[in-house]
Amino acid sequence: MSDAGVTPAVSALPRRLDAAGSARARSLRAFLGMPVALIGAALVGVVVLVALTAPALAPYSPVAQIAKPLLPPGADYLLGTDEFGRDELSRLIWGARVSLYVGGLAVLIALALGATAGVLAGFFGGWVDDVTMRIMDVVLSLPALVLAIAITSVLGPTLTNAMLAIGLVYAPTFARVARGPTLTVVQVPYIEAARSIGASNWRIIARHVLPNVAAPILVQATVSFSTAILTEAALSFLGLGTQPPTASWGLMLSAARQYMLIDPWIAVLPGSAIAVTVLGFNLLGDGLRDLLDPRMRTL
Amino acid sequence: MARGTSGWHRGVDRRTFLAGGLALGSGLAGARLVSAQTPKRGGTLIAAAEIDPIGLDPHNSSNFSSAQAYDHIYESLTTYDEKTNIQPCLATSWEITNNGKTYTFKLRPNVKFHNGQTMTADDVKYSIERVLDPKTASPWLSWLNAIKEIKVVDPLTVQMNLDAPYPILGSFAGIRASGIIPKGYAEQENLKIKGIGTGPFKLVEYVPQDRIVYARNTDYWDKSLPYLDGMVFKVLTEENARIAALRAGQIQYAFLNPPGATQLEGAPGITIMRSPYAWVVLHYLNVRNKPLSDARVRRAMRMAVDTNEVIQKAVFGAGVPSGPVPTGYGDWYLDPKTLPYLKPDVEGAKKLLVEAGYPNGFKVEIKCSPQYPEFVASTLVIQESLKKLNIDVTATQMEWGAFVAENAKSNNSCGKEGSDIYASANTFRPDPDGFLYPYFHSKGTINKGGCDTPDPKLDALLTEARQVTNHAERRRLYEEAQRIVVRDCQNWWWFAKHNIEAVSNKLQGYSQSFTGRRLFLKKAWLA
Amino acid sequence: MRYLARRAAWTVLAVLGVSVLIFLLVRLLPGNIVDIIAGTEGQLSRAQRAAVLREFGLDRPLPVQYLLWLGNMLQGNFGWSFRTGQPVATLIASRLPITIELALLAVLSVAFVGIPLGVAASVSRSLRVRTLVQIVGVLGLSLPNFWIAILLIIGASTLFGWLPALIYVSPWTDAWVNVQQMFLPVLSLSLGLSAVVVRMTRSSMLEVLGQDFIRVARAKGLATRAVLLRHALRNALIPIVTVLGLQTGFLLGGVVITEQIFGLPGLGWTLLNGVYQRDYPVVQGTVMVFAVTFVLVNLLVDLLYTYLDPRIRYE
Repeated sequence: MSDAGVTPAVSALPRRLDAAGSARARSLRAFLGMPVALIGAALVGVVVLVALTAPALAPYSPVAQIAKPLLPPGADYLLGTDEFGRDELSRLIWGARVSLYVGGLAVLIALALGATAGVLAGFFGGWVDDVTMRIMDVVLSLPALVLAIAITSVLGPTLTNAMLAIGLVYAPTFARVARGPTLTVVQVPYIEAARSIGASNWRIIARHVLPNVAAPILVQATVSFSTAILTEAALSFLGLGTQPPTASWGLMLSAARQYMLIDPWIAVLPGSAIAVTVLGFNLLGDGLRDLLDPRMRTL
Repeated sequence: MARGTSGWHRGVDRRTFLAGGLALGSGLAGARLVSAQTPKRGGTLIAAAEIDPIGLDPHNSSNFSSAQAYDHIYESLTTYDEKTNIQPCLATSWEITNNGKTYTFKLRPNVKFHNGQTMTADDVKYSIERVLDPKTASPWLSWLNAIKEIKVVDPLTVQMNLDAPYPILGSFAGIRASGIIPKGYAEQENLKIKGIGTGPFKLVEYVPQDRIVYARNTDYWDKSLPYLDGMVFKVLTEENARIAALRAGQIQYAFLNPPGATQLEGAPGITIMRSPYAWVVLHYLNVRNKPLSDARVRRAMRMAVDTNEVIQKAVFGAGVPSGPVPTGYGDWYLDPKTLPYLKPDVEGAKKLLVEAGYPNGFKVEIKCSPQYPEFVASTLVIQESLKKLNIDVTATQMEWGAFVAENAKSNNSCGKEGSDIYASANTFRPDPDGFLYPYFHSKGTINKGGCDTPDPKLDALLTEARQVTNHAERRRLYEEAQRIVVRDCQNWWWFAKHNIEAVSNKLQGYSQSFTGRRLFLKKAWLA
Repeated sequence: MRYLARRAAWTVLAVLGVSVLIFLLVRLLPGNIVDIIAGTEGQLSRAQRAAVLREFGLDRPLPVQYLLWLGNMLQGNFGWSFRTGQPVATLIASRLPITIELALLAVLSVAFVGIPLGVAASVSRSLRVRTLVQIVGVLGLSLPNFWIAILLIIGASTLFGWLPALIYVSPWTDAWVNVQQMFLPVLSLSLGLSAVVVRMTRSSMLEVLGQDFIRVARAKGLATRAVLLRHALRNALIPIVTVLGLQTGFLLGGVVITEQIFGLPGLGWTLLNGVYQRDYPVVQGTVMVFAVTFVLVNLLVDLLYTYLDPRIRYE
């Protein structure tokens, strides 16, 4: 499949071969001036902070059934309790960890498998390119949910295994994102010359390809991060994601749907947490894209 | 109406027989809508099915939802009434002779199948032999394989010869594979999506995962029934969708889970019916390996859990404590007030554990499936409670197919393979034997781990209960057997759930059935 | 032309790869149809188990099963469902249109909402508008799909006392009823999808608008609107179309859940149910249909490129 990320050769010179310095400084100022990007960064920052400080921050254990079920917010339990009598606030706080874990793992796997494949495909071209991209097509053709069920059923019904499947399904996207800039770099005369005189492939990849791939990959990572969080919610809805009693926002949301008109609170809270986190990552991704190069097309 | 005559019931007069006998006594009557109006014919009921039936074959479907769907199309030799008593259906009377080894059923004359054919003894013989044929792969074969021979005595008389007494056969109706189909029909048609029976409704169409459509059987043998012209069951697995449809008046009937019913309380024009039914939530225990092989450990674990808390959190309070035989089942069940371990006793549990040699607790795994949220919920309550005993419980959620496979592996290997504890439920059985024998008799086919260490007393009780036919005697035997397994915690039984059905005020005359099947839609009408 | 030929060859190989993969994958799932039939309360003896395996051809060696399946499929015979005995081809034929309708309507409604929003976000002078659109556009993507669906159902029934007809009616039979039925499901699906499209459109437009040939067109004196619509959007559509093509995967996931919640008898839910029931022919057949659809969509997307950007040519 042709790569839509390949801009006509003229307009997108790889960064490293540009006069970089002042452009970067300008971009950073531009970033700081963009409300959207700042909002995104702030939201993400809050979530990361909450996740990191969870043990200290949460007033109670997220899994201990310590109170009456479905209590409204009150003095003892600031955000009330859930259907098992567990403290909502603590569950929300610890849920941040699960969300970060989920997003991080999926992105890590997708990156490791996909970006690598994409760079290699773009760099070596020819049949390597064809085979790699067709394999990516095969992976994309398999419905993500089926893959998730298959992998969790075979390897064991843990959240880690479920996210392994999701990471696998995201890999082709990363491959495509990485392949575009790689193709562009490879076509530049300087690089062709370097290869013809025998410069090591790995050196070229490391010094020239990777820096140009890094930016779009980073942007894609933020997008996939947020998508992974939503996918975990969908998997929990189907009973394939987080194992109870672990607190994950997706699981909390799914479990709460039976109590919608009895106690909407236990649904609204995790739903908002998911929304805020996903929003944050998406806005951050937008901001990063604008910062690094508005001309850089990413998927 | 009930004219079951029997040679063995000597010395008991007809009245007693009708009240007790083979009948299941005055079980808690399911909630019933008493209507001042007279029934009237006409109208199509629009209802929601909470699970897709996944196939309508009356002989080899194991899904409960399947039985709920084909119940309207097929009938058996007997049926249940609103008090869960056996009543004649396709058989008008039956005799048990030859020391309980020969059953002779007299069939009702002039019963028409939906294709106009008249039902005869040949059809009965064909239907049962189909179940007994291994090629049919009926999961309920073991319930009928006491039958060694079926003889057609005359077009309206069927004789079944057993090799050993098997009182369960007398109930017939509750045996899941007992629907009567026309002779030769299974070879002509795909019974999974088509059906010809004698029931009050004909199958018009079944679109898997979408809907089942029925039409009134105008030739039904009970001339006054059914009242409805037809029924449409739309499959809506999402409960919020069912609740919304009820609220909007789009459907007149739906099964609900407890939280859903609470949401709908007080909604105008809708009545919520509740009564306990044969759905016992339990945990199967594999007693083969340590530490669960020690009854003290099992007891201690049970003692640490508050049964009431399980009921509250698993089904929002819509349940009643139960032993192996669901509470409310005739007079076979143990009075919940007399069940041990209802109230938690953590101190006693700790002492027992120390005595058994586990002062520091141990690790154990419980497998459950989110397919049935109450199984997961009860497991989580147990997990939390057992922390007090330093027992570290891993609650493993499994996809349903994987769970079933695992459970089967454990059953088939007598507990050598598979896990220690499985969360599940028992649905209606035609006889208390079904709740006990397969699991606890050393020859039982679903005995997890107990096949090699039989309890001679329990074996004797269960074997004798199969041979004795006097109701009072059987009752005594089963009570004793239940007390043993409950005291020793061979499994953990928690509660019998409430059957919650939401019915629009437009639907009159509906009664709930303890079996959990929607038998009495045939007696309901639309106002 | 040579490109198409090479592409076709590789595509066939990819589809073949999918067939092998899904064939093996379903068989790796723990448990099979025998366990499902037995359930947790029934039991099957050894003889009965063997009978079931023989009936469904599962007792034959794997390569034989695969070749039989493949051979039949190429002749149009997708086998019979283990659970309902229906021919899988008939099953797919009756359900695929519903899924396609759902997906297509979602994509179209997104195109008519998301693209204009994205364009607005890219060209508006006002920082407030740009920020607002960005945030609103992204919000739809921030809520899990099933949640939006449930909220819509509850909202429709409690606030408006209205729900569409229960039994699915095809647009050919009664278009108005069909529109009512599809309205909520399409809405829940398209909210997530529009966010992606809004962002893509915006960044794509920004990129194109910054390019030389746009400045040239402006300098030539062409009216601003004409510049935008004719040149910029056309180029910006390339990545948008790519994204929509890639979103087939996301769409499928969303479609499955949407079908289940709204009770639409579509192919997505049939597939998932097939997995749960270990109904191999249904799963294999459905995945193959999806794979081929995906491949065709991508091919269409690529052909669309050549139309949208004449500079892209395949050798």
